[in-house]
Amino acid sequence: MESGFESIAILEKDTNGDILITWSYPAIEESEKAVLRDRCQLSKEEIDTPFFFSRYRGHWQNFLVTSNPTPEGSALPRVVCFAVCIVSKVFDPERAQALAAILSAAYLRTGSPLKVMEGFLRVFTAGDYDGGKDGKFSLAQFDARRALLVSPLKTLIKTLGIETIIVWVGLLLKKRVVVYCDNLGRLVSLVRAMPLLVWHRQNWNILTPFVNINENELADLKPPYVVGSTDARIRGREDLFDVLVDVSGQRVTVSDAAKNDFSMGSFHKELASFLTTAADDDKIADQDLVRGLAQRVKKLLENLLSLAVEEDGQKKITLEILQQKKLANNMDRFLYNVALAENMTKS
Amino acid sequence: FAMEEIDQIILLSLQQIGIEFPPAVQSLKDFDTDILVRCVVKAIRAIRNDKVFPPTLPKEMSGRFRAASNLVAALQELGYQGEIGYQIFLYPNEKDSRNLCMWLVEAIPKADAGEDEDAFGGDGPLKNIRTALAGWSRVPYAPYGSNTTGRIVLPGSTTDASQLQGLRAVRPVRTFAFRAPSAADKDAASVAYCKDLLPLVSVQAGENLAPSLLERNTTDYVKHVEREAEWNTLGMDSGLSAKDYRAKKLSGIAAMMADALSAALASSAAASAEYSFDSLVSGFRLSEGGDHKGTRFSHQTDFGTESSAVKAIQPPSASKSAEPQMSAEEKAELEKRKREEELAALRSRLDAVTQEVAQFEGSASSFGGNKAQLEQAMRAEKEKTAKMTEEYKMKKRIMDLLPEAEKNIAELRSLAEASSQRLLELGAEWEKHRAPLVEQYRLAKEADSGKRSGYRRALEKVKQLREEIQRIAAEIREKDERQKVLLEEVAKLPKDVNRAIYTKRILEIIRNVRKQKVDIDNILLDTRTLQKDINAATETLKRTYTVTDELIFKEAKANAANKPLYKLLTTLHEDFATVLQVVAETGHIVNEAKDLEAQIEQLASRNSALNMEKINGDLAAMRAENAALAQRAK
Repeated sequence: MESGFESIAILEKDTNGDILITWSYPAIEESEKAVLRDRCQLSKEEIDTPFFFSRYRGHWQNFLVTSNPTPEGSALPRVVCFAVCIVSKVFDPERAQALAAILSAAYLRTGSPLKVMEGFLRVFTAGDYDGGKDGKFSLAQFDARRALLVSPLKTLIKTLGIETIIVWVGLLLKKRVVVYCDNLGRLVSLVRAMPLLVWHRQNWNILTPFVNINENELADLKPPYVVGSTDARIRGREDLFDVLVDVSGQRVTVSDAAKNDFSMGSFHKELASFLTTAADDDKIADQDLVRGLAQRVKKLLENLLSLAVEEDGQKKITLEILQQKKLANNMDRFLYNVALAENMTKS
Repeated sequence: FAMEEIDQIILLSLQQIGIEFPPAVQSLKDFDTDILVRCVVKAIRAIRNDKVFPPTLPKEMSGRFRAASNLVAALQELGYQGEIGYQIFLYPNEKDSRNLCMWLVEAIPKADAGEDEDAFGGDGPLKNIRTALAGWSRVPYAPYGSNTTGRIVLPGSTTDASQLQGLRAVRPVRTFAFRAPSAADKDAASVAYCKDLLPLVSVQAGENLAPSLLERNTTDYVKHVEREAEWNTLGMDSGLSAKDYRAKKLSGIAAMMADALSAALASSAAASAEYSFDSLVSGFRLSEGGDHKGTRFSHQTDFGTESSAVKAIQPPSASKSAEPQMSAEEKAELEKRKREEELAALRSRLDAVTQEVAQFEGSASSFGGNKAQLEQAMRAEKEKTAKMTEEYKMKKRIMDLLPEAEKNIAELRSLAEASSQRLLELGAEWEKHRAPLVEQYRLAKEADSGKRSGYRRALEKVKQLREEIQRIAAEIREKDERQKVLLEEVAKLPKDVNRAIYTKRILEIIRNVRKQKVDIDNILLDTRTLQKDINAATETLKRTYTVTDELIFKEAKANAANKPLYKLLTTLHEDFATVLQVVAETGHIVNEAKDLEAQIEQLASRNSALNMEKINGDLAAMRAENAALAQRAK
């Protein structure tokens, strides 16, 4: 079984306040190093969540921050706190977190990256690693599919309320979604739940759970995407989003440029009330909610496909067909956009 | 003695302002009402330069009283703070007169003003000059050579000829930002330009030269002060050199401006639908309005409605020959219909084109959407392909190795094991280099930060020093200023006898005081010696008495006949004690008497102010006057 882990790096904040990538295996590219340094949160006085992850150039970066309570007497005399970052090509943060915890413990204990390297290589070749008192790790315990459901959709809906529907439309139409929240842990967990709204695609690679606003990181974003940030300035960057989810301000806004694609009708209203009532209903499990929503989307797509015209052996949908159906206001436009997003239109 | 010295000085000063004393007057004790009033009036004139008060008091009592009260009021107005009332003038006493005269002598301006006035007889040409200058200083400034355009008449300006003459040239102040060589002109081209081509400042600014120069100077000064202040607060803390700090600030400002510009551009782009250049231009056309109607549409409507105008410019030749019988109205009607038809046709064509454009726009947007989707899909496909290629390669390797799976797996395992072992060895080797390097870096950094904090401390010190320098510089300036003022004062001081007399007298007084001090010291010493002698004598007496007492007591015990002797001794002793007591009491009483005498003297000096006889006389005179007045009133 493949681990998906690609590389591992140790970032340290020393007593001078410097943040350095002091060790990595295998070598990490310079631009990616800069991103790691910017994202590792070690510069913060207080870190609200020790484990978090994001994505850069298609790789998942899983950070685990460990503070060194006794820098003077420990094996790492000049280090105030450090982060172990495991870069992985598979979306499974829990898997990376489990390994990072063992390797962090080993590093804090020995002060040498050799143990870290040993563990990493061991998992790479054999798929499991016994670090003695630092803990045990086995790839067999983890399933990437389970990772998709870690953050409950219900929490997302409860947080955003009726405005969840805007996010749903944004994701369904493959728009650019930006999420702002001042708490990193909350931000990452909410962003992580968003692809559950379009379960039929099962694509978590649209996520960049958090970015810093700088050229390098913004250039990495390729629409469609869902991007999180703890930097309040992102709220003013209308060039970056079609939908802005402001978790701290509890608002969802649509950019002026995308307003036309977000006109809604009774269909959306009905779906929104389904989501909110289900989220409040304790009897409905989170997975049932995901399944129920997925079925509705599937039905919508099937209906849409039934309208398609056969052309060159492929079923295609055009705006004219939808306009001829005399649908409820704005529904034709919405459906056409859905068809566009699902690649069902005439090219 | 001392008082007399002071009186001499006062009298001298008063003589200097032109008061003549009768030869009988030797000190202020000899001042009577007339002399005192004359002195005060003269002094007030010297101080205030006016002539309100007559130098003598009137004869009748009420008039004297009123005049004295007026003088008191005048003195209080001038700032005299001592005890004062009409009685000071009417019943002068030495002490109050002295206080008053001392204050007056102090208050008389010591400048040459007084002398000048005397020299030119008060109303001389100098006074004219002074009044003229004072008058001109109230007229607004106007540069030479200015014309009468832009003349301002100030509110409340009078018709006074001299002021109007000033106003003729009044005009608004305009400044001109001229170019002058500065320290920034370092390169050869700038230097050459400044040297050969730059016109003189006076040419550049023209008739606005003075205000322009003043403005430039003020601006430069303010700039300098502001920069200094900023450098002292922000600049020093930044830890940069002055040059670097300026460069940093410059780039910061440039970035800020760029941001602001790009933001403005972005917002204008967003609003381009409403505020495009075209609409701006057409807006201009419309706003020109009235005589110039610009748009094509308005031309068209003009054409349709203004039939008379059309008729007027119709080329008459063709229509006349073809339909000569048609009346002018019919022709116009026909023409109008034709135009309308044409217009309708054009409109329908316009509609059609608009529709077409809308269609194209719709399809363009759908193509755009398609394109985006396709690009996304393509990207996804590419990723997929890469992944599959990799997988294929992997699977191919596996397929190759499959025939001898067991063996190959074992082989691969051992290979992996070996290579990871090798990697770990390499890692350990690398660690030997890496750890010291990191450590070294951190140590260097720490040393650097240590240096930095040292630097910061030094900077702090420099800052303090700078503050100190500034403070001292300010102090020096202040002192310079003070010195100048004092020098001026010295120059102004009269350089004749006056000073010598003062010095001489002061020195004399000091000498006297010293002599007196020596005397006092001698007397004190004498007193102390005397006291000591007395003490010694008392002790001896006591001892002698005790011895005698014992001796005679013993004798008395032994021999009864000696008993009266002892009694006599006791009585003698007691009597002497009484005598001593009396002597001491007498001393006390003498002292008291002296005190009382001094007190009496004091009271007498004070009472002399209230010369009862004189007051009674004045009161009688006053009553008589009142009676006379009452009589007259009847």
